[in-house]
Amino acid sequence: MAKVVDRHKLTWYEELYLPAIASGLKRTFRQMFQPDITLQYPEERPQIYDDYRGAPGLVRDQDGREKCVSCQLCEYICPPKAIVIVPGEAPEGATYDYSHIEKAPREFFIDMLRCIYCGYCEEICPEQAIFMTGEYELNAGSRQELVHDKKRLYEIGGLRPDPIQKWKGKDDRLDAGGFTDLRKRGAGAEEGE
Amino acid sequence: MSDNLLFIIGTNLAKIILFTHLVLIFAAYMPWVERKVSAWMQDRVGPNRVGYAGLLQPIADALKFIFKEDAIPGHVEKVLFVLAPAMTVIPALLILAVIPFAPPVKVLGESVQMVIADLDTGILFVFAISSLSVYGITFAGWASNNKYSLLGGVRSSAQMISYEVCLGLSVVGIFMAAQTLRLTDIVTLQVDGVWNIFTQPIGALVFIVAAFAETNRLPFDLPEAETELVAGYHTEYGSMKFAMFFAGEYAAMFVFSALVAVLFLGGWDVPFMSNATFAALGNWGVVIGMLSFLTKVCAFLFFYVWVRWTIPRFRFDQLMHLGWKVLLPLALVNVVITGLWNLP
Amino acid sequence: MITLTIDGRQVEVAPGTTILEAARDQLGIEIPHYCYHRDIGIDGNCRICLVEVNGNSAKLAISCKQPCGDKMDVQTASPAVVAARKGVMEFLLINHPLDCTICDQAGECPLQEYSYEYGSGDSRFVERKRNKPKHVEFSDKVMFDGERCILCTRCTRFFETVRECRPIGVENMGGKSTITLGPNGPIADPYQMNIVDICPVGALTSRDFRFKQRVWFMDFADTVCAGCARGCNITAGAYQGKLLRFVPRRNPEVNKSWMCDDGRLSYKDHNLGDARLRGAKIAGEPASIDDALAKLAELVGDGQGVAVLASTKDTCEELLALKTWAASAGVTTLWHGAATWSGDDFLRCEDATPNTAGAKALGYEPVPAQAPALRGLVVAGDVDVPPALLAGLDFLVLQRATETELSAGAVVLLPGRTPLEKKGTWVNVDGLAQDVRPAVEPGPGVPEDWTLWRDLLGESWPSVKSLTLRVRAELGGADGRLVASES
Ligand code: SF4
Ligand code: SF4
Ligand code: SF4
Ligand code: SF4
Repeated sequence: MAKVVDRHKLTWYEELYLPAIASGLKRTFRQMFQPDITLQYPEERPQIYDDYRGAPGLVRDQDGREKCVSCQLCEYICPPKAIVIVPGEAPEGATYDYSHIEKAPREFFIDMLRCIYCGYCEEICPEQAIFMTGEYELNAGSRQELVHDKKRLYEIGGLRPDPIQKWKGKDDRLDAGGFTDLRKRGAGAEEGE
Repeated sequence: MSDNLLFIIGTNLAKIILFTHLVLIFAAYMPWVERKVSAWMQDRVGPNRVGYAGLLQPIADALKFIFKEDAIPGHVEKVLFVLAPAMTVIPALLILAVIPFAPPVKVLGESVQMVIADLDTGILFVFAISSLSVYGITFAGWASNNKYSLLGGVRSSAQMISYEVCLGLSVVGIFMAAQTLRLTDIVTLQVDGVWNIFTQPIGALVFIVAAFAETNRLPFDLPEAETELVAGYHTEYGSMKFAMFFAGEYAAMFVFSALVAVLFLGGWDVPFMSNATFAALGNWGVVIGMLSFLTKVCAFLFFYVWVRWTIPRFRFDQLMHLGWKVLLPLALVNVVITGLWNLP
Repeated sequence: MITLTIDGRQVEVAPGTTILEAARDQLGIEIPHYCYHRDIGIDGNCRICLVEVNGNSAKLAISCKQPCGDKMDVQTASPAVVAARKGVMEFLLINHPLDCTICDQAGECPLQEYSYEYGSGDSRFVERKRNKPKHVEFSDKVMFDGERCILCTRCTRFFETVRECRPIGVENMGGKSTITLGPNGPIADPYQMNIVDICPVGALTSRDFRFKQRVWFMDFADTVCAGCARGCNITAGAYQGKLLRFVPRRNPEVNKSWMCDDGRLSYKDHNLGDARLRGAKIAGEPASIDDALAKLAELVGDGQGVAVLASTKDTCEELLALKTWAASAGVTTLWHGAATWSGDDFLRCEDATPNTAGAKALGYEPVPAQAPALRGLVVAGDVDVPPALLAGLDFLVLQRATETELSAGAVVLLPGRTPLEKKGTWVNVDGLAQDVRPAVEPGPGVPEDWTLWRDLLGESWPSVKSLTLRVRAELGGADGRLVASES
C-alpha cells in the first residue's frame, strides 16, 4: 500500500524563503574560504590504488612466460568490442611446458578508443593474464597509436608473480606417469631415463 | 552648458568610448571572475594557468573564439541566425547611454555630466531598450531550427515579458518619491539624502529578483538550462557568434548591476559625502565617485555569481508563479505604500 | 510394429529400433551420448545415455543399444537417470584437463554442454589429475591430445567400420588407456580428418584449423562442397568474410557424415584475397560492368561463329540464364568445361566439378575433340580453356573471379563469384539437385553471376529464386529432387 507522507507545513517565516536564501548565501560564502582540494594535475599526481581500473595490459609471470593463451574470452565479453585477438600456436621452443599450453596470442589488440574500462576482461580471464593497470595517461597523436598491440600491452602489464603456475612442470609429470611420449618416439629420440 | 558643438561632440565621444570600453572590459573579465568565484565556492582553484592567477584567461578565450571556424549549420534560418547575437549585445550597450557613472566633471571650466545621454525620461528609455533584448534570444531560438533552441527562446520571451512588468512597477515608488525620471537627479537626491534601498526595500527586492530574471541568470536561467535544453537558444552557435551571446549576457549583467547601484545604492555616493563635498573635491570627487560606483557594480556582480551557486534553478511554473502572483502584487503594494507615505 | 511410451508419450517403431533412435527420430528428444554415432554404430562404453526402463531405477539401460520392446515405459529424465548421468559426468571430468581455454572444441563440445546440464560446479577430486600425452601428431592433418580424450573409441571405430583400416588403437589398460598410433606411423587415410569431427571432445583437432578462430566468432552456412561431383553437404565456417573451415553435414543420401580431406581443405581455394577481379575490364582497362556487357553484346553480334564455354562449377541458375541469353543472341554452341582428380570407391568422384550433371541436363555439351573454327568465345566461370579453342579467335570474353594468364588476351573481363559465394542449385553425380548457399560475401564490384546474363538479356528477374523455379521445371527429366539434409 502506498504510504502517504504528509508534507511539512511551512510556517509563515519559512514561507518567506528569504531567511532560507540568506542562510544559503551564508553557507556558500563561508565555503569560499575553505581550503582547495584541486590536484594540480601534471605537477601533482593522484594516488593510484591497486584496484584502479586503468588501461588493461597483459602480464607475464615470474618466469617471463606470457600468461595469455588466447582463449578469446575477453574478446567475447568485452562490451564495446575493443579487443581483437589473433590466436596462434605458442612458439616452438618456448621455455615453458609447451605441449600443455600450445596456444598463445599471435597478436592482441585493444582499441583504447573503444575500451570503457569496465574490467570485464580481467574478470573473465581464466589465466589471469589480463589486468586493469594504473595506467591512466593515454595520449596519442593518432587513432592508430591508441590501438594497443601485444607489445604495448605487455609493456603496460609488466610482470605479475603467479603463485600457482598451473602449467609448470607438467611435462615432467607426464614421464612419471609411465606414458611413452609419442613426440619423442616420433623423433626417434627415446632416451632411457 | 557650452554651446560649442565641437566641445559637445568631443566630450560625448570621449564618454562613449570610455564607458563602452569599461563595460566591455568588465564583460571580458566577468567570466574569469565568475569562474574564480565559482571555483572558490566549490573548493577548487579555478583558472590559474594562463598568466598570473589565470588573469590572461579572457584573452586566451577571446583568441580561441576568434580563431574557431565560424560554422553556420545547414538547417538554420540564415539571416536571423546571424542577426540574433548582435541583437542581444546592442540593447545591453544602448542602456549604457543613460547610466551616470560619476558626479559631473569639470572640463575646460565647463561642467559635464558623466553620462552619455542625460535623458529626462532615463528610466523609461532603459525599459524600452531592455525589452528589445528578448528579440535576440527569441530569434536565435527560432532561427536555430532546433527543438531545444526553440524551447529556450520561447521560455525566454515568456520570462522576460513577465518580469519586465515587475521590473517596471518596482521602480515606480522611487520616481513617485523623487518626482523625476532622470537618473542623474535620482542619484543626486540619494547623495544628499538616504539610499533608496532603505526607503524602498520592497521595491529593491522586487527589482533585484527581476534583474536576475531579465539577465537569464540562475536561479532563472531557464532559457539556457544546460541540463534540460543543452544550452537552449545558443545550442547551434559557435565561435564569435557564441562569444557575442556571452558578451551580451555579461554586458547585461553589468548594466543591471549599474542600474541597481544607481537606483538603490546611491550611484556614485560615498557614505557621509554630500553633493557639496563632491563638488568641493573637484575632479578628484569625480574619481572617488566613479570608484565608488564601480565598487557597487562589482559587489552586485559578485552577488550574481554568489546567488548562482546558492539557489538552484526554478521550475518554469514556479518562475511564473513567482513573477505574477508574488512579485507583481508586491510591487503594486509598494506603489500604494509609497503613494500614502508621500501624501503631501 | 512395437508400441512403447517414452517420457509418457506413445510411439510406434519398427522392431530393432533402439530407444535412443526412437526418442530422437519420433519425439525429438535428444538423449545425451558420446560413443554412439549414427554412421559408425553402437559401442556402449560412455554410459551417459542411460535411461530408466519400466521403472527399474536400480538397473538403468543404455538407450543407444537397448532395442525398443513392446509396451516398454521409458523415462529419459527421471531422478535416477539424472543422478546416473551426473555420476558419469563426474567420472569423465575427473581426469579431464578442463583445457577449454586452449581447446578448439570449446563452443561445440558435448562434454561442455553436458557439463552445464549434469556437471557439478566444483570438483570433489583432490588427487592429482592423470597426465597423458598431449600435442601428439597423428599425422600432418590431425593432432591428438590424450588428456582430453574420453575414450569413446569413435575414432578407432570410424577407421574400422567406415574405412576398414586400423591406423590407431587403444593402448594400455584402465586409467592409463590412451589412443595411440599403430606401428605403421602417421595416419595416411585420405578421409582421416573425419575423426576430428566425430571426436566428441577436443582430443582430436584439425591441424589446419587449429587455433585459427573460436567457433563462436564465426559465421556458418549450410552449403555443398565444390570439390567433386559427389557434392558432399558441408557447413562452411567463415570469420570476417574469410573461409576458415569446411565440416561435413550429414546427408544420408550423399555423404552420410563424411567428406574427404582434400575437399575439406579446399576452402583455401575460395579465399581469393587481393587476387580477385573487381568490376569489369575492357582490353585490360577498368570499365563499368554495363559498358563491358554492351561491349560483349557488340562483339557477339548475330552470334555466328561464337561459342559459350561454361564452367561446371556454375550453378544451374547461372547456366540457365547464360543459355537463355546465348539463345537470344544467336549463339548455339554451348560447351561445358571439365576437370578431374583421383576418384575412389568411397566418396571422391573422378569429376572434380560439382555440377556436370546439371550442365548436361541443361543442354551443355563437352568440348568436342575436333573443335570447329570460332570467331569468338565466351568463357563463363572458373574453367580451363582447351588451347585448341583459342587458335584464330577474334575475341575472347572471360567471366571469372580471378585473372589468369589467359586474361591478357581477353577483350572483355567480367567479375565472378566463387562457389562459396553463390546461391543456386547443383546436381550431383547421382542426379540429386542440392541447394548451394553463400557462406561469404565477395565485397564490392562482384555482382551475382546470373545477373550479368540477365542484364544482357534485358530481363528483370528480381532474384535467383525465379531462376531456381525454372531450373526445377527444366530438370524435370533428371531427378529433380532436392533432398533436405540433416546435420
Ligand atoms: S587475456 Fe585471458 S581471457 Fe583474454 S585471451 Fe588471454 S587468456 Fe583468454
Ligand atoms: S576493460 Fe572492458 S571495455 Fe576495456 S578491454 Fe576490457 S572488457 Fe573491453
Ligand atoms: S574437450 Fe571440451 S570440455 Fe574438454 S577442454 Fe576441450 S572444450 Fe573443454
Ligand atoms: S580421441 Fe576422441 S573420438 Fe577418439 S576415443 Fe578419444 S574422445 Fe573418442
